[in-house]
Amino acid sequence: MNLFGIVGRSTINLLQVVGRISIFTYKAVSSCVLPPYYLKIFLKQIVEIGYYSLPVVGLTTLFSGMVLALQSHTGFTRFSAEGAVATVVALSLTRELGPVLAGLMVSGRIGASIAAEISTMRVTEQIDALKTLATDPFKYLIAPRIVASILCLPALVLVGDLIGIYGGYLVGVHKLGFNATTYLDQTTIYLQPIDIISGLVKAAVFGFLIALMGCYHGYHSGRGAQGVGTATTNAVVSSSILILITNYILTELFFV
Amino acid sequence: MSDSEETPRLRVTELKKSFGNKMILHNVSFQLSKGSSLVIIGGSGSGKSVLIKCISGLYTLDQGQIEVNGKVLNSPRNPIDAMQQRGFGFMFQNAALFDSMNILENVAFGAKHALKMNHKAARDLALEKLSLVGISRRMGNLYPSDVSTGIRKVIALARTLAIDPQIILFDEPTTGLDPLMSKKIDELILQCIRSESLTAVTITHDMSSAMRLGDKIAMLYNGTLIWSGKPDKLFKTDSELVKQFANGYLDGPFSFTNSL
Ligand SMILES: Nc1ncnc2c1ncn2[C@@H]1O[C@H](COP(=O)(O)OP(=O)(O)O)[C@@H](O)[C@H]1O
Ligand SMILES: [Mg+2]
Repeated sequence: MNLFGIVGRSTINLLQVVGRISIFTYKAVSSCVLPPYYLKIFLKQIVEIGYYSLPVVGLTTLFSGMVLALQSHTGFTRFSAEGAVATVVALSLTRELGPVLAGLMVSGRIGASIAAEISTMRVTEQIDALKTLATDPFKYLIAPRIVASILCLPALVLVGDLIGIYGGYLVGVHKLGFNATTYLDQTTIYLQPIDIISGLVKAAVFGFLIALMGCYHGYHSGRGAQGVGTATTNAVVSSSILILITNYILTELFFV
Repeated sequence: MSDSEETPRLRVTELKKSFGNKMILHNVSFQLSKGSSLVIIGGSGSGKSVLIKCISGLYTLDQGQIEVNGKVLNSPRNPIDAMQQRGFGFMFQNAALFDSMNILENVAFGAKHALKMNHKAARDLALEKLSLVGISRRMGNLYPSDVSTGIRKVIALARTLAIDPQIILFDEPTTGLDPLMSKKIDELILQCIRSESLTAVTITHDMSSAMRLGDKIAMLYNGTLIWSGKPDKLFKTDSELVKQFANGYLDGPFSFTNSL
């Protein structure tokens, strides 16, 4: 076994992938900024990414808020700190769980569908056809999806935060016997703008990552039906991992 | 006797293209005058599609030169500039219609985006091109998945014509169609070439289609054009390779494994 060979080869492969993703990101971002803009496609993506993801994100955050209230209550009663339940629910949701859960759910929904759609267009030569009709696929396909995703995720997270907090409230008031006004007071009293804003910034970054990975894997998919499957899987896996990694980095940047 | 009559509409000189270390085209040259039609035949995987994708600007060339009307086309980094500068039409092997759009929107797409027409003008032009290829107004509202492969190719032809190209590249326009539909498509292609004096490069391995469409036929083998001539010479050639391919004999020098 030639250890140097293996290490060298994998390093080169890794650098190649990183290089390709960097070039793709650069082209994608500049297409988002420079005209022409395709407004109709962009609005369609807003509906697709924002509106149709609402049920998924809503359900996820609702039950997460509920379980958070339940679990933190169990924990906090052990040292008589039940009063912190509402605060913990609100802070965990706005800072971490809202953006991360919404990000992961949307990655499964939207990242996968973007990758499948674009790789199918690649395999069936529709991307080449766009070029022969003088249309840049980066501007026509990729930019609207990325911009829509960047804008939709914070909106989804904001709605998700509210629904999640409401879930915590439901459990707190109807199951754990909190007084409704007290619970709401405890929710808002320690909540600061930065808690919500940091969550929304995270969401925007996650939105970018989801669309970018979907587009990248779709655009560079292999040929044939297998290429479409691989592209879809890779898009979801890579964006999920990137979401979790950047989430840690952003938390550190915001709060340390 | 003006100069422009003698400048070929399309001239391809010593074109080379590899993928990785796999050489696909190693020396392809030909020229075409206005209104003429060249058919390039060759086995599956011989690099026919790669050739016309290089000519159209979808792939960059490794080496060589392409001239349109005597003007050398450099290989811009951006394929869109390349496409616009060249004014080529391209009809894809599997039609490559946009399946998120209906038939009318498909045909109007190029008029809208390449010719920058407004919505109504693009629509009118699309209807005109659709009727030119014999597709009724009513069918315009259907989606590509609603119609047969043959009709999809007819629509792809209309979509290509709608950007008003001088040169059209056809990637296997009749492959996979029944004999009647093939004949119908060939008829339409000929009609368009003649009525608008378009220059056409068609690649195919369908010999009867090649005989119908070509003023001139060339054969691509091992990355180069090994033979070219008038269709009636095809079956009388001295080249064993060409004779074998044209007649479909199994015995002969033709290599079926493209180990290039
Ligand atoms: N984008 C590409 N990357 C790598 N190899 C390719 C690419 N396109 C075509 N090839 C290879 O080039 C060869 C010729 O392909 P093609 O031109 O499609 O053949 P055909 O003559 O049947 O149209 C094939 O071996 C194919 O695998
Ligand atoms: Mg081909």
